[in-house]
Parts: sequence; structure tokens; C-alpha cells
Amino acid sequence: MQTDKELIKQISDSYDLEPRDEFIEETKQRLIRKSRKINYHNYFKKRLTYFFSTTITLALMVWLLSFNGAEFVVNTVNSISTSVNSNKSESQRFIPNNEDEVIFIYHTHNRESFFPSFDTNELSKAFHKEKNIVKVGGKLASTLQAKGLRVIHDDTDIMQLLKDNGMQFSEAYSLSRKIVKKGLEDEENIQLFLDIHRGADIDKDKTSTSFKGKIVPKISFIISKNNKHYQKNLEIAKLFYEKFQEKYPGISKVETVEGKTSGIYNQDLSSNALLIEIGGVSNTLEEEYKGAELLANVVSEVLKEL
Amino acid sequence: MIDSNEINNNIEQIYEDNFQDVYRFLICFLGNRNEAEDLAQEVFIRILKYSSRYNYKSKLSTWILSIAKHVAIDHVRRKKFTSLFKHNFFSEIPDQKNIPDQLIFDMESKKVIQAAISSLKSQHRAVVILRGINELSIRETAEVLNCSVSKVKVDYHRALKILRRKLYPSKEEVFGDANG
Repeated sequence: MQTDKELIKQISDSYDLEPRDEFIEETKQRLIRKSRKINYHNYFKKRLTYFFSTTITLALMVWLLSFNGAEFVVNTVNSISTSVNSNKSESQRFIPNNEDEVIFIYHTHNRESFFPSFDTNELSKAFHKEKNIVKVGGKLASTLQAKGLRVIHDDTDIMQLLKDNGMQFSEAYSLSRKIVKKGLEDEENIQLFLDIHRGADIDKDKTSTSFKGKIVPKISFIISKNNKHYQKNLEIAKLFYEKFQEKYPGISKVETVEGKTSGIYNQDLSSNALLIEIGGVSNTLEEEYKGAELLANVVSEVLKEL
Repeated sequence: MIDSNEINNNIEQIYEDNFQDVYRFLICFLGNRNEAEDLAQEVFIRILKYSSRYNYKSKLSTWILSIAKHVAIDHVRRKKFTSLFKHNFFSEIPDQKNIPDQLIFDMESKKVIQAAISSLKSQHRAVVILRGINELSIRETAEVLNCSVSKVKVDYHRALKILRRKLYPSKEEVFGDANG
């Protein structure tokens, strides 16, 4: 029988294995033309890409440097970051962190505003839809977040809700109560509930003091005596006062209030609930921001001992 | 090392080094000079077009033969498909088992061998040509066909057995049909 080799030999003999010379030459010429075309094409493509990227880079630089490009970019980035934040929940900006402790900031009188911010000096008119105490709370929140703390800042427009539901200004606490309760349900580890207000005293000398040559708002911790958590809340307020005295002496004070007319400020809901007044109606927003920063510094000190 | 641009720049050299192998593979696979020439050109044009896909792991010559195999199998498939419409399906497909009697006894006839080769299925045909005609090693054949070394061995052995049975039916039949 045939070997494999013989069989293969037979196969290769049965074909004309050599291509025609004309075919070889023709194909070669065709390939050379084709490769030139491809190389030229690639070269041209490279040049074109280079040209366009250079033009675009130059145009961008001119736009950034000479026109308002930089400003536009900054604005866009800012608006994107705020829209991302506000998407997280309707009214609460929530920045999670590794720390378990959460600080809950809210504003029962969210539209409390400041005389210098707009043209009025009537206390009853010192309320504003935007230039209000929520901005000060926002400053407090962002300063705390910068320290790596978890903050929930509730900016619910309670005043609008009162209006919508035909309720009185004095009923504001019944609405902010719901906010605190919801906070307690949603988060286990809230270390502090801070209801941030500004004082109602129109005398700026009484609501401000000077610290290192600058006007800073005084900070008051208001504690209700009419509830079961009074003692514990008072202790925390005193702790704040002590820490303030260490860092920024003379700026803070603790007030206790009693009586049926004054509210209990949701302090019956938690043993860690404080009402804090930063400055008063005559302070400027800038002064209030400064106050919020000082408060944030003390909050982080206090948290270590809670 | 050759990069994609280098393939384009050196296409003349690459063509001269490889056209013989490519042509041999194609003429054996297709059994038709015109088709083999057309497809050989197609293979080298594809090399230019897809030079960036060459991965340097295999030898350039193996890569080129694997393209030739693709082109050939594509072509056969397409031809089968169009022939469905061009002619009567049943009259066109050659009867693979029964090669006409007067040819079986004419052992020297090239046509018999060519017919036997084209009656093999694509994988077997490719293995026989690559191993036998192109004289690739088992490993190189496996690379071209993108299959395992052992599959190449088995297929080569089996394909030769089938060929032998077709070419010398009387001898094989004595031992029975081992390969179904």
C-alpha cells in the first residue's frame, strides 16, 4: 500500500502549483499601488488629525484666556455639582462619609433674614425667601463636611408650608417636628439635632462681639425646661459653652426657657437636640458665616466627648 | 518586528516571500486557476487592509496563510449559496462517494485526485494541503487553522485515510469502513 508521502506526492503532482508569471507581476504592481494609496491615506489622516487638534486646542485657549471661557467653565461645574447634590433628595443634602456619626441641621424659621441683606429695618419684615438663615446653616454644614463629618442639612421651606396650609407662624414647630421625627426614623446615628436660628434682638451690639478685631455674632444655646430631656440637653449645651470658652471666649451663652408660651423646640424628641441662635437680625450674612464657621469648629470638638 | 505600517511599506518583499505558498494553498483548495488567482490577490489586499490586526504572536507567514484559509472557505461557502439559485441544486452537487467508474481505474488521472481532494470537507482539505503541500509543521498548521495540535494530527490522519479509500476503494473495503 501507498505511504503517506507517496500519496502527498501524487496530490501535489496533480495540480499546477506554479502561478503564471503575468499573474505574479500584475498582482505585485497592484499591491504596490494599493500600499502607496493606503500609506498616503494614513499620512493624510495623521496630518488632518494633527491640524484639527491643534486648531481646537488653540481656539479653546483663546476662549478661556481672552473671553469669558474660564468663568463659563467654573459656572457650569458649580451648577452641575449643585444639581447633583439637590438630586440626592428633594430637600436634604446628604454627604456620606465613613464616620457613623451624623449631624442633623434644620431650620424651623427658615426664612429668618438680616436687615443688611435687603432694605428694611422692621423685624416683622426681616424674612426672605432666599437670603435667609438656611444659607448660614449651609455654611455650617459645608464647614463640618470639610472636616469629614456626615451632615444632613434640611432646607424645607417651612414658612411656605405654613402659608399653603393656612397655619400660623407659631405653628412652625409642629412642622419642623415632622422633619426631626423623619430624621430619627431614617438615620440611626444622629449625634446632634441643631435647629439654627438668628436672634430677634435688633440691637447689633447685643448680638455681636469682637473677636481678634473682627465683628462676630454671639451664639446662644436655647434649652427648654419643659421636657424629659431637659437635663441631658442642658449638659450638651454646657459642653458647647465650655468648648467655646476654651477656643473663642465670650462668644457663647446658654439660656434656659420655661413656661407654656415658649415651645419645647422638639427637644423632647432627642436628648441631643439644641436650638442655636447665631447672631441677630442686624448682623450681615458675612458675619453670620463667620459665626457658622466658629460653631462648626466647636461642634467637632464637642462630638469627641459625646 | 514588523508593525502595521511596516507591512504596508514592505508589501513587495512580503508578497514575494509568500505568494507561492498562498497560491499553492488556494489552487489545491479550489482546484481552479482563475479562482485561485483572484483569491490570491484578495488575500494580499486584505493583508494591507488589516495589517493592524497582525498580533506578532504567530509568524507572519502563518498569519498570511490563515487569511488565505478564511478567504478560501468564504469563497466556497458563497459559491455553494449562489449555485443554489443559479442551477438546479441536485444536479450541481457532485456525488461525493461515487466517483465515475471509468475514472477510478485511471489512477494516474489528475482529475480523480483533484475530485477526491475537493470532496473532502473544508477542515480536512485545509489540513492535507497545509501539511502536505505547504509543508507546515503540525504546530504551524494548528495556528493557521486556529485549532489544537492534536486535532491537526487526527484530521490529517483521517483525511488521508478517506482519500485513500476514494482512490483505492477495493483495498480499503476489504478492511471495512472504519470511518463511517
